[in-house]
Order: sequence, then C-alpha cells, then structure tokens
Amino acid sequence: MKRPTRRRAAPLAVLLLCALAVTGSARGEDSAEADAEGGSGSRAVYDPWEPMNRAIFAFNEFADRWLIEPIAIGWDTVVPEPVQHGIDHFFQNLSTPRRIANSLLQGNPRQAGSVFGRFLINTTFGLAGFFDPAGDAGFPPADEDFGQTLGVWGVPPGPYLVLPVLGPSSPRDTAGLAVDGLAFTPEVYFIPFYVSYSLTGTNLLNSRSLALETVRAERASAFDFYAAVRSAFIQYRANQVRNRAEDPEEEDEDFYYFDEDDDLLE
Amino acid sequence: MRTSTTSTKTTICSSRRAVGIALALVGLLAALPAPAETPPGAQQLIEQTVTQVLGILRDESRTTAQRRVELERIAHERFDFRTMARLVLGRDWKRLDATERDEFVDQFTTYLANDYGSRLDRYEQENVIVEGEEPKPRGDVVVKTKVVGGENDGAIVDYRMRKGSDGSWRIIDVVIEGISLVANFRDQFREVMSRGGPEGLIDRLKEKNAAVDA
Repeated sequence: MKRPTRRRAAPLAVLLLCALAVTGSARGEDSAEADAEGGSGSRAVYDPWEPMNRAIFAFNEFADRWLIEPIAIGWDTVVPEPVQHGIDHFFQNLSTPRRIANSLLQGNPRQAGSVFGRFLINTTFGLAGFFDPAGDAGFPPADEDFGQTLGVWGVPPGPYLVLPVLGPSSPRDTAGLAVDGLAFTPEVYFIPFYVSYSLTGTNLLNSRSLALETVRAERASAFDFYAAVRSAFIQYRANQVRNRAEDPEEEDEDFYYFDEDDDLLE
Repeated sequence: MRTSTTSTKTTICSSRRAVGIALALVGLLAALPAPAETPPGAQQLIEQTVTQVLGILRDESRTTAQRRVELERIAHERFDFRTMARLVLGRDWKRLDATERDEFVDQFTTYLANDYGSRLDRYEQENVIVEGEEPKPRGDVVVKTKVVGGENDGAIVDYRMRKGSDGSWRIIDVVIEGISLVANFRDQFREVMSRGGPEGLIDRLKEKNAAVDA
C-alpha cells in the first residue's frame, strides 16, 4: 500500500501543473479564435504549442512504429480476435467507477444507474465482464471521464497538447486523466502495483492491437497526419462535452458558408 | 488510428470512431437513382441511399471492383463534391484561380473515391438506422443516422445536406461522432497550403491519386 501512494504523487504534480496551464491559457483563447484559422466555435483549432506538440507527436510515431505497433502485431497474431474483444470488454467493465462517478458529477444520475446496471449484468452473466450481454440488451457503456466533466462544468480545454506516449490531449483532459486515475480507479489501491501496471499495459496493448488496421489506413490516407489527428481529437472531445452540457454551444454555422465575394471567380 | 500509441482511453475511443468514419463513408458513398416525381426530402433520400448501398455491399455476387464502380456512381449523384471542396478550402479557396479550382475539385473527388473505396472490404454487416432530420437556420438539413452492429455499434453519423439549384438535396459534409470530414480536411489542407500554396496542394493530391492507380 505504500508504493502505490508514492507513485501516485507524480500524477498529482502533473495535475497541478495542468491546472495552472488551464488558467494561464484560458485568457489567450479568445484572441486565438478571433485569429480564426478557418473556423471558430467547436471546430476551432487552437495549437499555440504546435512546434513542441509536433516534436512529441513525431516521437510517439517513432515509438509506435518501432516498438508498440510491432508488439501489438505479435499480440494480434497470437490472441484470437474474439478474445481481444473479450479483454476489451473486461477493461471497460473495470472502468465502471470512472463512468459512474463522472455521470453523477455531470448531473446525470439516470445514466449512472444504467452504467451500474450494466456492471452488475456484465460482471455476473458476462463472466467478469468478458462478455457484454448488457450492451446487447441496449445499455450503452457511456464513456464519461473527468475531462468531459470539467468541460460540462464550463472549463475550456485550453491549447491542444500532445502527451508523450499517451497522445492527443489538452490541459483540461490531462488534469481529467489524473483525477480519473487517482480518484476513480479504486482497484489500484487494493492490488499490488505490479499487477495494476500489468493490467494497464495489457489494456493498452490490446487496444492498440484492435486499432491496427484503422491506424494503418488513417496514416496512409492523411495529408498531414498530425493535423488530421489534432482536428479529429478536438472535434471529438468538443462533441462529447456538447452532448452532455445543459446549454450546448451551438455548432458553428458560418463554417458551412462562403463569403459573398468568393463567387466572383465562379 | 489517431495517435501513434493510441493509448489514452479517449484516443482509443476516437480511433474506434474513426473506424466508424470508414464505415460511415462506406454508407456515405451511397445514393439512389433519383425518382422522377417530386424530389424526395433530405431524410428520405438518405434512407433510400442507405438501403441501396447496404444492398450493394451485401450482394456476394458482386466483386469488390464492381461494388466500387456502382457506389462511386451513386456517390456522384448524392454528394455535392464542388461545395465540399470549397468548404474544405475555406477562405483559402480565394487563393486558387478558376483552372486551379476545377483541378482541385476533380482531384479531391478522386481522392475521396479512392480512399473510401479502398475501405469497402472492411464492411462487416453493420446496419444503419436513419433517426431523423434537423433543419438548420440557413436552409441546410442535418440527417442523423446511427450504425448498428459491428465494431462501431452505436456510432452517430450525421449527413449535412443542402438543396441545389435543381431542387434536389445533396450531401455537403459527413460528421461522425462530431468529427466533420470537411473540417478534418480543412485543417490538413491548410497545413499543406501554408507550405506549398495551391500548386503544392494540387500536386500532393495528384501524387496520392497516382499512387493508387499504380
């Protein structure tokens, strides 16, 4: 029990740094949006740290090509696909506390109840979560995390941020990740640290394995993979928050219209 | 797909949705030979298109190549590629002269067809439910659909449609779990154009398209 506490001090430091970064960066945001690199509102790309982000992204790509992806390919070869899906379900089931807590924090007790029902059904009839009978019966997993909760509470994401190994994020979502890891992952306090590390590793590897084909296709089709990932991430997160917010920010209509004088050359 | 490591939960999730993208685009490459009477409404059009495209995808007697030809034909009827291309460039559209614009629209259309055509084999018997339509303030309509079954079970795919001068609705954007196809390409093309200008962008498109033909 001593060890887990110690290793969890690091994420806490990260959390504090991020909290500082959020408050520090929120100020700059309006002007950045006015600067409107071809979009505002939920589709705006705000990436003042682009040089650093691109460097970390390149590092992640390198690590993936030479280490993570090859291991995932090995895993994919050895572990049959239905088993991979089973493992994925198991980890999804394990993350129930995070989903329930954040559903509640977002003021959605009904969803929290549904997630709890899912957990009961899948843990028992789904054999410790390896199968997903609840999903088949129409209870969706409700992927809530603390980054989204902060968003629903009105905290802006701040600048786009690429984390080493973990990939696309933002100061808000990084803080969210830390809180989810510290507060809403209770099993780490009951199992030895090496077991929880192995579990996390297995989850990541298995997830990477399930995404092999997609990553390959997206890399091949992109013109600027960094920009493609950034755009998808920012839009996806904004959408997750918008879906939950009580007064959702209206999507940016101007995005879909041209300036009048564009027509001159038609 | 998205990150090299694809490791945060969020990212994994967004990558699954991106598989969704592929699938939705499979669905998106859809359309129907327009019936002659009153032009169908936006939602009706998507419903017909979904039925037709799923029919083609499920027909085992067709080869992948045959499917592709048919789906491409449908796509040309259902999508307003010129408007899409213009929206993708945003204000950068002004930097292209008339010839470059035509060339860009052509190359971008070919690129989309190749890219999504190449993903057709990944269709896994998903179904698509058309859930309804939502009018937008300036006349566009968003038709909401949901993927059922497969790995992207539950993915929400929205088709943004606009009525053309001929009175028929055409798709101008596909939004999967909040990720707009147009916005995604806009961000990428802005990067490419900031380095090589319009010519640079058109060259990149040609390069990509040529690599497929080879």
